[in-house]
Amino acid sequence: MEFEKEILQLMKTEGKARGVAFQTDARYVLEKMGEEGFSKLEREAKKIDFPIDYKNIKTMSWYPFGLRIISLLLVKNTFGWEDEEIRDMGYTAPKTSIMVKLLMKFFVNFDKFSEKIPVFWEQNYTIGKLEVVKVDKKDKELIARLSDVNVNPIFFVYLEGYFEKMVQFIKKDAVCKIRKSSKRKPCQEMIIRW
Amino acid sequence: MVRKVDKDQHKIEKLLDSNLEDLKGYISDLRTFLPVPICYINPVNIILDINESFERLFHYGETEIIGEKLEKLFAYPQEAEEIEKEISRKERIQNRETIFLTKERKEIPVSISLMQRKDKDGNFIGYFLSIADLREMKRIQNELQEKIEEMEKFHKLTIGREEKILELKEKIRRLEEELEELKKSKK
Repeated sequence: MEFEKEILQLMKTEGKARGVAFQTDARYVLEKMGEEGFSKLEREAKKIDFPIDYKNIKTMSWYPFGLRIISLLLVKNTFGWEDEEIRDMGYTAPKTSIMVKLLMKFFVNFDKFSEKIPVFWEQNYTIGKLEVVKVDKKDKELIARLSDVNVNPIFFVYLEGYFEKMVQFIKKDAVCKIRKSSKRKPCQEMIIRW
Repeated sequence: MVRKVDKDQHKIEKLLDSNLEDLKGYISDLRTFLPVPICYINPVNIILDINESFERLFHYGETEIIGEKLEKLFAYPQEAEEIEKEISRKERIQNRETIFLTKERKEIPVSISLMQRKDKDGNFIGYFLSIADLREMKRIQNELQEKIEEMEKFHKLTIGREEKILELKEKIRRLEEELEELKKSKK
């Protein structure tokens, strides 16, 4: 019942997300849980008020942003996963995402990558804004601020893993943490250290 | 007027999405079909893409090898370092023989070719690496080498035998002469 209410609420969220995010979710489940696990997810995805048909999602098409969060919650609920697994799902996504392959020209060096962080966001979501607010090469730290995205925290857990892997395409040992911040208005701060 | 512009914009966006989808399908089919193992590496030598032939040859899945350093594939990391330096300076490297490792650390002799990728301003943004599996060629090469060695042994043996026969014939001839002379002297 709680989940159904949350779904209705999430579907009211503005913005859109690329289909590729649903495909990387499905692929992760398939790899981790096998065909049987994926079928279970598909069954659960068809039961909800806004069903997700994972097999017929189009990579480049835009879907309601709320549905993207619903997909994460659905995976979490179906398998009883903890944040750790959701983070790993985000961490694995850039390895198979066609969007990342299309943007390969930005994984050249750290300067190019950090300059293009907002582009990575815009290519995947029409909601919110991701901007780099600090790059400290001496202390090996980059801070990016994600504003105007107020959804279930599961999304930020996923993003933490996703961006960690993205940075690791340039800095092999980089780590990413996302924390809530309210310096001016509530937002999420992404701290990347290498 | 505004509604017309919005409608056109929406139409263009839909068309672009559909073209991107087609392009994605084409890349995916090519990735599946290409019989030659290939991978794409960025300037900091991290593997960003592989095709299915690559997965089959080295037994790595996409999620296992993408994001790893190229040197992980080399049996001798020093060679990886040399190749990485060379491709940052040269547009192409053709048919370089080396040894690669599978996921199970099994050695595979390979011939690799590399080609730089550049952006529209001519900056080096990464490189393709194609791999030819030399195991079958090496097996045939070894078989041929063994055959050559066998033939050389046989050659030496037969030449040696011929020389021995000639020596024996000469010995017989000399003995016959001696015998003849002995007979003559007895008479």
